[in-house]
Amino acid sequence: MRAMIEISELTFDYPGLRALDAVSCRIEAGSITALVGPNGAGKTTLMRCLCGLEQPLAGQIRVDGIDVIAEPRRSHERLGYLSDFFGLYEDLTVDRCLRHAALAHGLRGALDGPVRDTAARLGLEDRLQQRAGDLSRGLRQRVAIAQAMIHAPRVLVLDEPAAGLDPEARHSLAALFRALQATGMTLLVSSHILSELEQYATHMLVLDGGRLLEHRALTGMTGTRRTLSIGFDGDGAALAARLKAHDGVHDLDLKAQRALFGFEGDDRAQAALLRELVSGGVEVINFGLAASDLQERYLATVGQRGSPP
Amino acid sequence: MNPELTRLLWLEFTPSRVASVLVALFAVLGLGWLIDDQTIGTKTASFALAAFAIVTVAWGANQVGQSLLEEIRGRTWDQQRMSALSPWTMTWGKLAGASAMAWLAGLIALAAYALGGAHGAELLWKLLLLLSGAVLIHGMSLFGALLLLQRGPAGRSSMVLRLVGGLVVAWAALAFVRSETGVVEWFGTRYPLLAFTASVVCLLAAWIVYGSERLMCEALQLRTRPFALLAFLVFATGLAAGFVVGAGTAPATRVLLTAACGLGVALLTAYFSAFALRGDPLLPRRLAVDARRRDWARVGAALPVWLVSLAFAGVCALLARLAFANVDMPLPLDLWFQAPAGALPIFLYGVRDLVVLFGLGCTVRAGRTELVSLIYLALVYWLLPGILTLAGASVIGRLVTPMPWIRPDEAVLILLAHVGLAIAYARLAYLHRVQPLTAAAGSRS
Repeated sequence: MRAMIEISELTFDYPGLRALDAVSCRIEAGSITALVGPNGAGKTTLMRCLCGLEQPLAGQIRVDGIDVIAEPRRSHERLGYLSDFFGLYEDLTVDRCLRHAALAHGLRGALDGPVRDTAARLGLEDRLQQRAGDLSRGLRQRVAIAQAMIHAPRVLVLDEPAAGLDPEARHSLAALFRALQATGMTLLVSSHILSELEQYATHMLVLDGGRLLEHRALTGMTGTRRTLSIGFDGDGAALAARLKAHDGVHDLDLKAQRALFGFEGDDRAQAALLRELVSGGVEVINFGLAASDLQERYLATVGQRGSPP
Repeated sequence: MNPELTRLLWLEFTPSRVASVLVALFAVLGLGWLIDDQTIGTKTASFALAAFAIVTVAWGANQVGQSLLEEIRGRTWDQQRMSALSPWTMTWGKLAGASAMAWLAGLIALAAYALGGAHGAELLWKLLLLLSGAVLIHGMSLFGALLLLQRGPAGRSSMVLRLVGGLVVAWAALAFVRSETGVVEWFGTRYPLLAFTASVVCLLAAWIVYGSERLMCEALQLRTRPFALLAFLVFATGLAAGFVVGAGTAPATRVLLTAACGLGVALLTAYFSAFALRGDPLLPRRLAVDARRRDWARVGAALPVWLVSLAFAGVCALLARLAFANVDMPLPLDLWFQAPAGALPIFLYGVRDLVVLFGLGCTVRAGRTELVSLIYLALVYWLLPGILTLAGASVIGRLVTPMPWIRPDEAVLILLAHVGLAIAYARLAYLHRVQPLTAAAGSRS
């Protein structure tokens, strides 16, 4: 899978504080990555560096092949960003907010189409002539997201997008993110509400103390790459040996009578793996795509340190 | 059309605002016309000039500064920084868009002034001075707002300060426009004062707009190299030197005086930037990392204004010292005779102070740095010398504040020791506050 975002040895310092410590990762095109970690982990700093809003001390960031640090303005053609504390031009109508965002992102010519399409996507068609300052929190959030994506960026970075939203608004936000992913957009979303991220995230990136603790796929939603789960009875070591010997298996996590692992392969390859395990004498109780179980993974990675999300 | 200009025009040109501004303007002009015996004469022109000063210069400057500060308060600045707008587009969009209403009123007022005021070339020079003066003040307001942006959230007093500042400068300029008919000598040539001033104000307006664009680049995380600053220092040095170098000044003396002017201009710029621009306690680490990678473009971009200005001041001080040996005495003024002799000590004073200010920037909590820096300057230049003089401790006094032009060589040696101590303090401050790294926690997440 092609990497849309490539971060290499990214280091960011505040005086007396290393906020990001040689962070490296590759984020696949078309994925929705949940960026999680305790307060002060470096999530916002990472997102702001990624968007060219902060200058790191060292390291490289590429978005769709563009060096963000060297060419931040050019990279903004490919990026949309929603800050955790965003604002709107309160005295402008929603229509004018969107038109200004479109013009500022370099869209030219007739703007009626992009404005109408974006408004429709976010359920704002009947709010276009309303002042942004008169909207509710949920609608303001939608306008802010609409502004960030009106230029059809390849990557959308959202910092705590669901903060302050009611459950219904959160649900529609999750549906929107899935719809955007279906169009091929790559999303990086930070949130403390893990159950909400679980609704749409395909990958999880865990930061703590400025370090990258884990980056892995959560479900089999990205092409041929998937996370599988096996419930078994008997000897775990024998199962582990068989899995490790099998092509396409990686990141094996064996606990009690359950194995979780990444798998590169299509449905036929998955069926072949099951056949091989059963014929090899492994007593398989259940086998299939792992539920994402973000909360569990997160706590397994970070929770040992006793830091609540 | 410039998107930023478009947005600001949407906000500025609402029917109610247009109507109220035009009604107020024509009321003022109408009053002048009535007082002027229902003709457009000098009294009407005075009213028009006053309206231009209040509406275009002062109110326009406030609007320009607010256009940026409102973005910070309204949390929309990140959205602007994420746009594809170039720094130049953003700069002139804000300058022209935020002051558009002020300019509409101002141009009407200037038309009334032109009908009732001066004539011919004098009118043209005055109009040029007024127009470029307004651009200069607007540019200063944007420049100041960009400086505030670097330093953090702007205070509430900034609007009052801008209005008062704009009015003071506007009234000073108007008094000049209405009365001045003298001449000025620059590099030995005599120019009409009005034409000279209008030309200089034009150039300064261009520089402040360019400077705003450079600051905008930094706000948008675009690298800037110090060439623009060096060009400005050369311009300001030339402008200042023109007033002290006469037609008959010998070549060596010209170099000496020009270098002395350059030293003064560069030190003023360095001190101003140390107070006005955001200090970066991480500067040594950034420079070290970029230099290790041989990324000289980033090294150039990371160099702070005070350091570049100090380097320029150092070159000027050396030039002045070298030229001083070749100058036939006496020079036109005693001060100019003595000052270049102390060029090197004066430069070293600057180095010492700016290194100490960097150290204070590392240790003192943000927001209090300016006050502590002012206390430091008052201490070393006023309190300590005063106390030592009163106590009759002249030897210690010479060690604390050596006079640059009485014993220049001795002063150089003492000040080199001061610089060494200042560097040791700054290093300690840096190591204490910046160097020990803890894992991220509790800061911005």
